[in-house]
Amino acid sequence: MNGQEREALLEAASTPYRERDASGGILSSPAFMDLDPALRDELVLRQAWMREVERALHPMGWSGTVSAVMERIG
Amino acid sequence: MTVTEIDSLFIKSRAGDRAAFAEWAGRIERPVRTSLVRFARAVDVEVVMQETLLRMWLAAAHTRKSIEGENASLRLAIGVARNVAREELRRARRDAHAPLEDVEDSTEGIVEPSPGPDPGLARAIRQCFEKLPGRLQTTLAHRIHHGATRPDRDLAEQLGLKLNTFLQHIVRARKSMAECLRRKGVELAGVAS
Repeated sequence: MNGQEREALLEAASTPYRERDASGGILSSPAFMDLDPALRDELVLRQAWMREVERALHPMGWSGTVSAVMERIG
Repeated sequence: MTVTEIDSLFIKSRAGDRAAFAEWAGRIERPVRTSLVRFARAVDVEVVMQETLLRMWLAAAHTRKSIEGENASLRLAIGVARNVAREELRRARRDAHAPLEDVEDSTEGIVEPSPGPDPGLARAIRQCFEKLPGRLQTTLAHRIHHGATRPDRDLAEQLGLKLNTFLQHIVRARKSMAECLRRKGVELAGVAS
């Protein structure tokens, strides 16, 4: 995996969007499954960074995580 | 007994107050996420965070357990998150949810909620966002406003981009914002470039 592919994979896993299974269970990002352990350490930091940016730019001050959950609970 | 601000928000959630719950979730998100770092190599922390918040919403709505002790709702959320992470680890073997009663006293280390919104940080982020080149700003804004409910492939298609191009725009936007924030003396956790 070259640097550009690595960055794209990390960015793909940093989105708050997660697919759901038939019973409504939240599924891990496919990109997460392709990351090796060291990159997973990097991912958790990158997710936290992106959530801060989302919080600052969202009209209600919600991170992507909070937005996903609020959408879910209706 | 004094009820902390975040516990007050959580108690309001019991009456179905969605705004109070969203504010509560924003206040406990950082410490709960931090508590999950040790699971980061094994589980997708974003999944654990969302499942934890959903369970806390259900707990707020459907249980009458008292919220006692400083930041009890945060300590409860950290306990729930830890159990969700463990369930994720076991998912291949079984699919059982841990009862809330098993985690209510599970405190680890210092537990502090996030302070309220930081106007200075938010302003710095917005200023750096505004400095992004047009295409990068458009792409990042689309992800921020719609990324919680739509997959990247849909967002890319809406912008007329290939998925890989969309992701490369996000990469470049993040790096540019990180550098801008550094120049302002802001080091967000997790900024890598």
